[in-house]
Amino acid sequence: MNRPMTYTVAAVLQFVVSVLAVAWGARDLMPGGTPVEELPPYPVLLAAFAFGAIGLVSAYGVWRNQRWGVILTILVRALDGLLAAPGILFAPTQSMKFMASSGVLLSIVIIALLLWPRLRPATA
Amino acid sequence: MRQSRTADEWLSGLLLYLLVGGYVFVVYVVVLAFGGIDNDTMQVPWWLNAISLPIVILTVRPVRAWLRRGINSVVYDHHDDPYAVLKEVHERADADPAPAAMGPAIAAGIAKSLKLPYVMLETNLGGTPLTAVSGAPVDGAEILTIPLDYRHAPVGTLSVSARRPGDQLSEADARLLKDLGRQVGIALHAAQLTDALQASRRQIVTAREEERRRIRRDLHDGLGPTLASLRMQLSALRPAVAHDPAAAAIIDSLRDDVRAATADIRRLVYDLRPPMLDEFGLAGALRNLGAADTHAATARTVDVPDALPPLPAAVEVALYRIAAEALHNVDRHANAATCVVRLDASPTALTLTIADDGIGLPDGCTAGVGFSSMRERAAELGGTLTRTSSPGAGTVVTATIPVEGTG
Repeated sequence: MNRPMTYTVAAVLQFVVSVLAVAWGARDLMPGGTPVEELPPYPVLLAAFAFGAIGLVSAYGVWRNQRWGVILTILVRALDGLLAAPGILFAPTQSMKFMASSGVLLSIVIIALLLWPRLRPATA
Repeated sequence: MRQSRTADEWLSGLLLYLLVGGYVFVVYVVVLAFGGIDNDTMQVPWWLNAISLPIVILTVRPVRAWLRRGINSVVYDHHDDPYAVLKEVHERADADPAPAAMGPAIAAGIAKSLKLPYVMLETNLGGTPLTAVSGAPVDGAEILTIPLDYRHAPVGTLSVSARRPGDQLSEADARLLKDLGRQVGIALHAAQLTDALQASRRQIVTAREEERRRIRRDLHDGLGPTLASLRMQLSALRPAVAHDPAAAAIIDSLRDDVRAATADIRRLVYDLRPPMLDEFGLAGALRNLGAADTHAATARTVDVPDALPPLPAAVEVALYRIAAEALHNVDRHANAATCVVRLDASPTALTLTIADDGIGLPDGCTAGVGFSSMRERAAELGGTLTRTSSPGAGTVVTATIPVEGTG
């Protein structure tokens, strides 16, 4: 399989981010977990969990160098990044602000890796 | 007229607007985060807007261009499935076996499978430059030209345009096109060889038939009359040696030998080329062929044009022999009531059709020597011969022979 290095890195990052999103999402969605006042709004939690689950599938697609995987990963990262961005400003705790910032940053990095222009040098 | 947007174009547009919108939003949020806003009142100081706005205005265009290139690369590239591209191109090139049809088929196949707006394939077939174009160039888009060769010998060029104004083709596109170019080069080289072989074969057959016609004329007009004259002189000499039985016997023997030689020459003349072709031309010979066997059970109808253009000897002989063989088969096997022989002449080809209403061919019938011979005669001249039949519905034999360049 002729997979670019940028795709390999993006697939690994997407997999790690998605596993963490699913794990943390499962923990936070369970009653009696993290105190409610330290959690993002419930729809945001639910969406982050769903994006994590879809992200696992899309990471596999990127790893297999599949077009659908790349497009799905870009979509998931873009929506997840937009979902996390307000947390940079409005998260109630510093750790949550850090998490939101990390989420946005990782989304930007993964999207950039997938869209990294593999252009030829300009022809004469 | 603007073509309707494809699913890929919609997807490309969706991703672009989502990412550009996301970029603007994230820039604004980051500026606010660094500037600090009052979480209680949610008020944004005016100077933060003043900072974020120029940043967005100044950076959104280059970011959008960068994103668009990347998205186009992801949406349109086939780096994940180059075999699908090869398969598409191969299937299209294979659809029409004619070498001249290969160029347009390959160009259309590449354009469709890689979703390229413009593909031009230039090659040389039979000494004639051939340009196959699919689509039209996009203004301002990069045109990539890939030389096609086979074992370092150039066989043509492949030019493709990027998909949108100002776009370049991605590295993955270029790599795939170069790989594809190698296969296309081999296919074009094979097409050129096939074309050259066919032309050479046609020339050989044409030259052979022209030579046969010349030999036949020489035999018929030269050696034949000479032998006839010799025989007459021997006949005239015979009374003069009537008193010498030994000499008379020699003359009789010589006369018999000359008669046998004349018969051999006559047979040779017929075998070299059917005399009817020289006597009546192809149209007359076919009519004569149709009326030849008055005792045949099948009623024959011959429909040929009154006037045919001057034809190479090879074409005349091939069509005549094919018609003769097909009629022979009808008489022997078809058990038909009627049989129609039809000759259609177009500026580029002659089509001979022999159709009967007989018992047809049984399922799974294989080609015999006669049919193979007919097919071979047509193929020698770059033509085709087909036979369609079904049990009880008769048989139709169709021979098509190109006439352009055969002379």
